[in-house]
Amino acid sequence: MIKAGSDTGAAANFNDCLQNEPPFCRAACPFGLNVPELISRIRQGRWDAAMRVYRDATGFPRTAAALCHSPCKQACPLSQGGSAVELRLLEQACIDFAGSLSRTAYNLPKKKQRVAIVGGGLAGLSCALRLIKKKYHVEIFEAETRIGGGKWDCIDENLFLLDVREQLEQDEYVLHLQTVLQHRAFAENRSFNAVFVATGAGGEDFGILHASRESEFAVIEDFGIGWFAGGSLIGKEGVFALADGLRAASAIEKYLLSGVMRRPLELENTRLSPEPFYRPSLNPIIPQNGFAYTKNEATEEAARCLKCRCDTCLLCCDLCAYTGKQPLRLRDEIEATIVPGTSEIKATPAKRLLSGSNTASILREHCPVQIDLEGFILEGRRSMHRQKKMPWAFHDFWLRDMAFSDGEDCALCMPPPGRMTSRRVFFPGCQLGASDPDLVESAYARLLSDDAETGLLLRCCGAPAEWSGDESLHEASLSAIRAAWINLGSPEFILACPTCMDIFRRRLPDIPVRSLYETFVDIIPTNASPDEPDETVDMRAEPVFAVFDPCAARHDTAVKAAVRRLAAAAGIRIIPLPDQDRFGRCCGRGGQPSIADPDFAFFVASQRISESPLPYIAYCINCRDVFRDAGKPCRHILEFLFHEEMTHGGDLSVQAAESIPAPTSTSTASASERRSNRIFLKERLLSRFWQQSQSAPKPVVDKCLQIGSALLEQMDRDYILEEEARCVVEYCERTGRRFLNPSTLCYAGCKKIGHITLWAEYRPLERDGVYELTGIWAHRVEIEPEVIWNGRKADLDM
Amino acid sequence: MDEKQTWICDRCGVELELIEAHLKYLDRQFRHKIPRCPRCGLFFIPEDLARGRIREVEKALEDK
Repeated sequence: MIKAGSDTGAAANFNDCLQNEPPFCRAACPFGLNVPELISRIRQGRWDAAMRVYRDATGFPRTAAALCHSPCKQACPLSQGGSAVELRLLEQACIDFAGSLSRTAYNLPKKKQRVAIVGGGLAGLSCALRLIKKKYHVEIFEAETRIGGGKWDCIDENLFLLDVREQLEQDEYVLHLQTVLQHRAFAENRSFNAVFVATGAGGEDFGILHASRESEFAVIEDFGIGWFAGGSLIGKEGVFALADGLRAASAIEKYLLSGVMRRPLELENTRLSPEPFYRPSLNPIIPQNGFAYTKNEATEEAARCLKCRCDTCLLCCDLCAYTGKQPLRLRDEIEATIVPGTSEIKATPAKRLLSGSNTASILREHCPVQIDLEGFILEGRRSMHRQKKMPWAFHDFWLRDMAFSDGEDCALCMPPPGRMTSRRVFFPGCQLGASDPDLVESAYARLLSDDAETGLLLRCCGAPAEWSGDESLHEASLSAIRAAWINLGSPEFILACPTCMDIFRRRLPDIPVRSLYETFVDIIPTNASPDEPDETVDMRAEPVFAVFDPCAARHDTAVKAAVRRLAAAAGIRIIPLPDQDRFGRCCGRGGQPSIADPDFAFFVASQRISESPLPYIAYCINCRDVFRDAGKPCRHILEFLFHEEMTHGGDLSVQAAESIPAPTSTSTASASERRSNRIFLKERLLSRFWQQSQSAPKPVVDKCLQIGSALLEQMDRDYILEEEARCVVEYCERTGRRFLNPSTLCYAGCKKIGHITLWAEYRPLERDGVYELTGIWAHRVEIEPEVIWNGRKADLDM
Repeated sequence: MDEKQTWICDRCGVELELIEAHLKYLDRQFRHKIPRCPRCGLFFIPEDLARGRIREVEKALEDK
């Protein structure tokens, strides 16, 4: 289902996607620690790898673990339902169980830029560490007789010194102890390119704080030297000072490389909403020794982590779930595909994806930022169509099918029998009659008996044109419907198909519409109380069904209720599908992906039929056929209403469900039968209600072609029609463009049909003009025929 | 039908040969040798070729 508004600006919300939003713990962490990565490595028991994640984020891992006050615990959604993940203990476990905390020394070339670090405290040392590792020339100036600044009182001296030794033992740097600097001139005198001032709370700031008052970043540039203030000098204490030094190092490096003066913004917030992650949690693992985890304890605790991330799209959108790709990635692929260009090397990775997606409007409804993937895909299809790169073979079959429905063999526009004007018109849509013409006939008869001023319009609503991206074809289709509506006296339309209903409401809003099912609730006598259908049905009643709401009716509460009431009236007990109110999802037919990506269509159908072990009731004939083809017992709601009439010509009322044979999962009409059913329907209705006979449509080809059942099944799978096979045989026989296999006496030849080239292998039978089809296949690649060959021009009529 | 099927052009009565042809799909064009009648140029794509190699090429181009 595609809603209005998706046509324009469908790409708008993609930039708000929460896919890359940090989880709550990471946003709360002063270091922005990549917690999901850390947790995943702990769960795998990869202690060295886990430690590296922690060490690279914190610079001095032992010090960070000792100083950390675990702001992540307040942020963890598990803290609402029980206990947050004990991240600090997990970090300590990484340190305890890793082989070595030292870094690998790389033999990188030294950089020529010189950086002064004024202050040997936490911020100064962490900034120095990062720059030293990048091979800058770093000199640390400390006023006291030892490094560590003013933090000796809050951290174990040995631990900090061990940390510094482990992290810096293999590196070169200059340490000036008992050196007090008071003027900026020193930097110029000693040729420094940047200075990091971390002299502690109330320490010497070299005028940076005053000069940079307007700037939130505490940075200035003076005579080509970048001055950066940090640590407790700017109010960052303890673990925040450590993190600030690392962040300052990034800013200094950026300055040295590009001259840009800007401190990186701190990661403070996440746009994720915590509520969806609230849940009662298992109790945290308590270390048995009271202070530190064993390996097993740590992996068990890590398993409690929810790995908070926005995955709504993966849960509710079939396309995302099937491809494993989230909307940002899909957008990039689609954008690359639709950008104009004909170069041989231009990548167009989303061709199949564009055509092979089903209706995904549910994503926009559930996505926290309302990403309109379906609108974007539709816009992509239209863009490709405007560039004359579509329709491909993917949509070709459906568009030819639509043209056939709207052609003279099937389309019908009639005022009520014996009358000139219509109060209402039955519009069953092109698929119901193709699949089950009796249902259309019975429904129309019932409508007529209720109101003799009911006209009839048989044709397609144009959905295949919209899905193929062909706007002008869809407009033409809509104009034809509007013209018929005016011709019939602008009556109300009674629609049987939810997709038609959706198209009418969006694209033909001036035509009053009503669903067939609501209409039937009003006119068919039912015993069920409209408001309390459940109580009118014996809860032990059989049969039991689940109603499958089609995607196009997801928000149509009236039709949903009507169908349930009709089912209840037939004595059926309805058990709701688990997510029927939240997720009214597509059966896999909407958008017609089954030719472009049959595996995806099968995936979607399999997902839908596994939502309940019960047989389904559908009120979209496509859903019914898709489910039946996938092996799921499924009935259209109209089958319960008209079964008796269709089999015995009995009274038109809701039939007791017991009298109806158990639903079968077999017998859906083949592609060829769907066409003949439509022709039959028109003839039948004309003859029964208007006493007119439609001259039987002249077959395009009058060749008699016998086709075995195995080949028929194969043709149905390949979307090849019997009529098309006859066309190929006729063409080969007429033109002589055929090949002979002398050993089997079979002929073979081809004809181009739409976007495909269809090949038939056949054998003439003894009776003149009768052939047997022995093989049929098709390809989409076009092969240039022999227009001129050996200097002779061929007269081709492919 | 284990023996290799030999098709002949019905009009010319000659066996087919692998002759270069111009192929086109999804805005890409390429040349490839396919069975053709050497006399009239009529091309023949047997079922195994269509369902095998040609299907692979189509799939590759559709995903490219």
